[in-house]
Amino acid sequence: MNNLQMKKLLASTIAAAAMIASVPSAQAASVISSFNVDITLTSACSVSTPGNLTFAYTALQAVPATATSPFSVTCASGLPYTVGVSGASVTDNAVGLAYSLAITAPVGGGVGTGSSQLYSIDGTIASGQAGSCVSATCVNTAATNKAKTVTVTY
Amino acid sequence: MQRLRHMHKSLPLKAHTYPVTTARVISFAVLLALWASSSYAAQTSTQFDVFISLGVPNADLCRSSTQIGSFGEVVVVTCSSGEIVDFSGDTSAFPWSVTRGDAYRFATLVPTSVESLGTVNSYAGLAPVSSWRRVNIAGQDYLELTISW
Repeated sequence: MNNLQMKKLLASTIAAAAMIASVPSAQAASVISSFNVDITLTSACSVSTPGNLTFAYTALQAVPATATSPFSVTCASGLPYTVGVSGASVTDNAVGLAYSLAITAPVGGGVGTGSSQLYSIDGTIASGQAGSCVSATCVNTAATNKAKTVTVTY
Repeated sequence: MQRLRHMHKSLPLKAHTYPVTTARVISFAVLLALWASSSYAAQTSTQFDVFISLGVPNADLCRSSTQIGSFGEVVVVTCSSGEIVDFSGDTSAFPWSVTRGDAYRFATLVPTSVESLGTVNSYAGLAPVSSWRRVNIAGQDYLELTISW
């Protein structure tokens, strides 16, 4: 192979390589397809269990007895809800003391924030009640109306 | 024959009617379900107990409000708030007084003719702290009662 032939071969090789290299860039293309992310959120609330409300009362005491127990409510952000407690004004059927329960709501309570909101149950036994007790101390263990339910409605 | 032909003609008509009716029923049911689900208030709940401890510390003492001592002394103890709020008796010698620790002390003059104090009333012993003692001051005997709880 003489020099001229070698030059032609080299030139042909370079030209071919250039063509091969140029082909992919010339043929690059995109196909676009779109889709949505659909989410269905079912609103819900959860409520923590309050600790038991414990009163110590002396018969005929001159001042009301009070007790409190905190609990939290967590609802979907923006979801309106109400909180209630059962048996909020009853007379304990074991020791014969009337008491009332009330729920104290935090600022902004009643509308979910997505985070827990701290509530409390506040109980009061009015003063001056004699109660029912055959010994020096009685506990309402046998009371059938001591169980209460906190309900969140949304 | 005419009647039979009429029946045959009416068949396709009924075949069209059933799907329409079914669709209406299904639509109504769906609408009813949607309405019901939108108006239903969901609830979540939890439970707790209310415990009450009722103390009647002065019950036994206050239940027997009038006691007669061995020499005729009458002491009335009045309880209306879970604590003794009033005493009455012969306080000519010493008045009822509140001492340290909310103890109540009462003393009365014992006639010289009385040799024995007799039995101490059992109700007095039911207070957490109670004591009787005979003291002699300036040649006179006094009976002192102290109650506290």
